[in-house]
Amino acid sequence: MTAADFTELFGTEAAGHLAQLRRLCHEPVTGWHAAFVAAHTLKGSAAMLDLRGIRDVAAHLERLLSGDAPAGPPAWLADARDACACLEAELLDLRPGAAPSAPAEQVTARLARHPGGTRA
Amino acid sequence: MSAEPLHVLIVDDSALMRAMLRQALRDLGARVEAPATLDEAREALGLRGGHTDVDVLLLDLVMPGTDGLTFLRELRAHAHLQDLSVVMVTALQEDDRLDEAFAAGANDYVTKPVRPTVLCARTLHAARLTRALRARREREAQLELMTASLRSLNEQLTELSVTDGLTGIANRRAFDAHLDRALSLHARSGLSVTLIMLDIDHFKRYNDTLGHPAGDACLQEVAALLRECTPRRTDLTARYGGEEFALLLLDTDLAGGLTVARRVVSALTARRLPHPGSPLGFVTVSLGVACTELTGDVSLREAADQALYRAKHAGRHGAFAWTHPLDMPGAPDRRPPTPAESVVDEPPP
Repeated sequence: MTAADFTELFGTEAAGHLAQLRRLCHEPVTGWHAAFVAAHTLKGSAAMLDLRGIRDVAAHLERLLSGDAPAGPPAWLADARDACACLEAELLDLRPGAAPSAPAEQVTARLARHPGGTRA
Repeated sequence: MSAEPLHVLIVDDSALMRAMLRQALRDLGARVEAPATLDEAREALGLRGGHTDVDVLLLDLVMPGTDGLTFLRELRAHAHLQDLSVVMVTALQEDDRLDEAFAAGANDYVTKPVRPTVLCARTLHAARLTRALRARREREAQLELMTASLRSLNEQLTELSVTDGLTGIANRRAFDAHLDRALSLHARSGLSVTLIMLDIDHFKRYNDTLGHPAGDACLQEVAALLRECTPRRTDLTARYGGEEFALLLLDTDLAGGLTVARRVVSALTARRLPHPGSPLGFVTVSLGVACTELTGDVSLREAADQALYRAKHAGRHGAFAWTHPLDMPGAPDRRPPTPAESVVDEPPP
């Protein structure tokens, strides 16, 4: 497989992971674990292809999702919605090895302000 | 490393990761399987058949549904996968999850993004470990088989070393050992030990008349009869040498020994084994009975021998109990039996 094939495959899988993350925004409790796995896989896959913006955003989402599901919507849910929008935009322009885009950096910075969860 | 190419199994829910790991392993020349489902992975790992030739499992730590840790624990529960090297494929910052993975039986890990050179080196190392462990286990199994075989042979040798080849009863060597132990037991605890020495009467004539094969058969018959007459597990029936036998009876007093002697005489008389050279026309035996209750300083063997000697000189086909030493060792005892000397014999039919 060529690098382009891998990138295309990434785009296909990432769309599924993004759908899981969007579901989190609507169902923050029931969709919690699936969203964690999606963020984790997205982070790893992006790292493999050196897609830095997606990797960084996904890494912060994974960190915030790493604890047990909360009883109600987390405080960072609005920022998570913006992160999903950012990821969607990034998926439209996949550039392996490029520096993170400005929107990705801004979302990353906002997510970074929230304390992470703790695993049970 | 054997010439068989490495067999690597990749278990990851991401098709992208499976494809990239497969590509990264390209230089290894390995046979790489990357099934899309865990059930296919279970098949490749022989969870139902109990056998696999997979050398290394590259396992994603975090997966939807059954995650890597759960799957790893499932695998390690199978005996044939104990030696399989498992390399976890993880992201950074998963130290606590890695701790759990190592506790569950992971051997190594690689982090994403995976560098092909690192992945190949660790996979090769892991495969070598798997094969070395499997080879050791095979050698251990072979050694266990050989040890079992040697143990069995040793048991046979031990059995042969204490068994008389012709009659199948204990031989002289076994008798000597048992007598020593019995006398030690007697010295320590006062346990009564009775020894009966017996000899087939006119056996030389038997052999001369009927030939040695018939003589051998006669010895076998008498040995079998003696064994029937000493059924207790603590009794020992031994061939002492030639046509001479010994019965060693533990926890048995003189009266008990005489009971056994009578049983032997009666059984042999009833058997009526033809003996053309015997005055009675059938095989008879003479017996000497001695018990530690009475032998004092005289050895039990010597006492039983002397009693047998007396039985022979008293006309054979009967038993004498030892009650006192002979006046002159080796000389016939001309004295009539005292009331204390129990004499057993069977009248000719």
